[in-house]
Amino acid sequence: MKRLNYTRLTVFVHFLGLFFLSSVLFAQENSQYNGPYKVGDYQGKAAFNYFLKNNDTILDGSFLMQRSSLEALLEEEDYSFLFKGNFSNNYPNGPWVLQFGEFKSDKQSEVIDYAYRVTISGIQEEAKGSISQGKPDGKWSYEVNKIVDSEVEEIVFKSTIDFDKGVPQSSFSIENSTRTLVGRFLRNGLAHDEWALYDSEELGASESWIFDDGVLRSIQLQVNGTPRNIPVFSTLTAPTKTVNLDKRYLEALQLQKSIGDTTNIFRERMTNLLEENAAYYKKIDTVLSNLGEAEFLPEFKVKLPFYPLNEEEAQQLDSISSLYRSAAAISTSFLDNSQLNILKLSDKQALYLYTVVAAINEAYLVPLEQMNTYREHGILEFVPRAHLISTSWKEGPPSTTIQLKDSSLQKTSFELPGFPAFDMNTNTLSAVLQWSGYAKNSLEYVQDILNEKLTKDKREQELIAIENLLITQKETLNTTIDSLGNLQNNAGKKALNSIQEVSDAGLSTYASEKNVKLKLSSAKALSSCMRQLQTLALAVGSLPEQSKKIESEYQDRIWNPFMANLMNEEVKKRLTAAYRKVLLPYFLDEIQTNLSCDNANELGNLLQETYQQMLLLRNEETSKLERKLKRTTEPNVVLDLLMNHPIGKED
Amino acid sequence: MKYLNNICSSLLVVFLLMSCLISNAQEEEREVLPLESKYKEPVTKTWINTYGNIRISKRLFWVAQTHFRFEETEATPFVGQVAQIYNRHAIGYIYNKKINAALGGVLRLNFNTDETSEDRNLVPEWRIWHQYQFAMPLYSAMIYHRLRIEHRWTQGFEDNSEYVFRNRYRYMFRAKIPLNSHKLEPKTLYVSPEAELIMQSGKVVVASPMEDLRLTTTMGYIVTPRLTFAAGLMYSQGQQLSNGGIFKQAWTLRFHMYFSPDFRKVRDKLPSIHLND
Repeated sequence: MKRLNYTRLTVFVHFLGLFFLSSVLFAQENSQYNGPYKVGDYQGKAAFNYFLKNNDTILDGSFLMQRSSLEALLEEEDYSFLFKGNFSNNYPNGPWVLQFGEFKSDKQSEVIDYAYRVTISGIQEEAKGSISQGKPDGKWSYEVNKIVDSEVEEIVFKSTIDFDKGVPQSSFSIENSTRTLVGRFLRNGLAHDEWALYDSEELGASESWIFDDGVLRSIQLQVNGTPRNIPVFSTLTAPTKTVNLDKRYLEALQLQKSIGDTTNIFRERMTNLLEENAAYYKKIDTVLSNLGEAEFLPEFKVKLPFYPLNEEEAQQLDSISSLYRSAAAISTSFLDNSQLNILKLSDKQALYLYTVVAAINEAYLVPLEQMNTYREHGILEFVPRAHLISTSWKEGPPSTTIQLKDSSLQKTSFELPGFPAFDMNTNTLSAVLQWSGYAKNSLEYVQDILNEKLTKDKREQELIAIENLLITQKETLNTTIDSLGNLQNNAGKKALNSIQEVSDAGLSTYASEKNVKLKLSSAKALSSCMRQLQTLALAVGSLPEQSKKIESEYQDRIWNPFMANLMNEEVKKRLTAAYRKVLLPYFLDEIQTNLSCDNANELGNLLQETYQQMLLLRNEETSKLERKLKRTTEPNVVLDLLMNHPIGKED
Repeated sequence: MKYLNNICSSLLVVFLLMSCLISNAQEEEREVLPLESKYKEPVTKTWINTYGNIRISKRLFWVAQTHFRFEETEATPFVGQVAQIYNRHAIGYIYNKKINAALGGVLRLNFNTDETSEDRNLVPEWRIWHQYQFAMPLYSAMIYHRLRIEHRWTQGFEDNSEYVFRNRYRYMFRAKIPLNSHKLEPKTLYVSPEAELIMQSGKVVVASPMEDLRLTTTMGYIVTPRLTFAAGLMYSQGQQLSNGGIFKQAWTLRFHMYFSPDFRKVRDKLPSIHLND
């Protein structure tokens, strides 16, 4: 019987397995989608084939997505696009067309061949070509046209490049409205031969880059009609590394010794075209990568001399970078410090130190930052170290003695005491490491002096502020006491006078304090005391009112049969008498005789708490308490009995 | 039984006071009414009265009054001799704070004040009494109306003297006017004018229905809601029972203490009837 059950279970499990397998197989069948769709920033209508794999949509088959809005066009302006091509297992594959338009209309229409025709003006971009496994393959063209009244008026940009599975091949041309660049690649995508740049207004090439197997040998320029030859890597002996012709390459080129100051001349022309082209390709890559898997980049390959970093140099660079960051943090904190910026106007030493920080920043930190940027951009390894260092420190290696230009300063130079002299060999990273160490230590040295100075200054400012506060507090206290005095009985007046005396004494003690550090702390303590005395004065001032309140609370309405009316009867007289006759005189006496800054707060609280407790006791069962109060008039005992009577419990 | 009938009839008479009394004119005494009314020389008296009102429940209170009354002698005016000692008790009912009623008994000890008499020196007098009191506020003062009906059994000082039954019908008007305050409250001095007319009926009452007319003015002081003192002077006159043509007169000094303790152990001693005050 048991065996039979197991068999049934096995069959059931197999059945379940088959069911899921079939559903997976079923899911891999292609489906069609037709409807609204969003790709990155593009939103429109799409029709495509796909299948599901692990809940992911895998595009497979034809793909069409587009958008255009007549309504938007007529209203103001329309952004249209069209992506048309094929996917194979999520890779763009086969012929593709991508169009981007930005159009306006003059809102004039005519009917031609049973259709309304509206003319448009604007920019139309169109990329056409073939893709293999997500990479451009074959001839690709990218055209940007200026459209006026539905006709192409001007070609703004056009590039034509041959690819072989993503690698540019043979010749290419890139043109915009003013220039044309033509060039050649080897089969492996390396730039080769002459890359020539033609100005549309001039005859012949205005700029030529001569490549040899990816190595840029020289640049020929027309400068004001005169031909000029700039050798770049004319005699290259160092090992090379193949890199993409991109911003990094151009940055590394600029740092080459042989190019020198002519960088600006070629940078704007050839590179702008290449960057423009790369931007358009990036646009296509964004669309395709959002849809499936693609690598649509014009990977122009070139070679650069390669000076790899050894382990020691890598460590030195790490240390330089970390020293730079610490030093920069200190320097920024002072240069941007508003307190220091104000202080330096009145304090000569502060001005001197501020100038030192600024000079260290100029002489050490700015070049270090430059080097750090080269490192982050990954071009350190393509420039000889010595040349890189001398480029960063244009005015030569720094000195331990920092000269200050401002002659009005108390000293016109700065030198960190006790730091060993710099090595004579200035072209190595170890020298730069030493410099960064010097910069950081110098800044820390200045920091110690400045911080103390700023703290002292801050303390003085604080002292001035707190003394002003003390004066205000004292004035307020005097006014309060004057205004409250009239409402008081004799004992109350004496207590208020005592508060005034304590505040006077506190001020005179403070005034006789000479030590600045102690002065600040005693000013703070006195200010706190003043605040407590003020509270106490107000508490004493409200005693008459509070007594009245207690008196009115401790009343019951009683029916007098002889008068036939209701009368108030004082209740729990022993409680009110204890408060009025024992505690209040005791409090006022304490204030008169024992008040100090140490107990002002305590006394103020005691007055308030006792009053509150009296209000609470009104509705408590207090017969036992009243009996106990009968036996004592000792203020401490009375206070203890009253304050410790439980509230909210039966007696 | 006979007394009961008398009580019933006398209750009716309250509302028809004068007319009933006039018809009762069968006189067998030898007394002769004078042609003109005769006023006797006023006597002087002193009353020292305590009034207790002891609260026993939300609506009930116990009335406990003790009065000491003195009379002049030849030698001493006002306080020459003890005349009466009253012991008056009742249970009162509070209808609301302005209306209350009470029912109880009185034992009065009458001392023989006739210095020449050789009869008994002391005889008891018994009474059943009930009263209805109404208070009305008027500006800062209060006005009170008191109706009191007493059924009394008195006897003469002669040996073997029989008890004589009479009814008394008393109406008192009184005002209490605060002098140093805007209302009657503790620590208030007040003046209280009062007038009380006491009529009587009974077999022995033939031509002297007006037993007493008392005109008093007192000054009082409210010490606490539970204790008040008052003192005043009263002039009174009334027909002599034996001869309606002869009028007695008296000047009485009155000293009063009013106290109203409440020993109940309740937190809120205000009766609910006062909650809407």
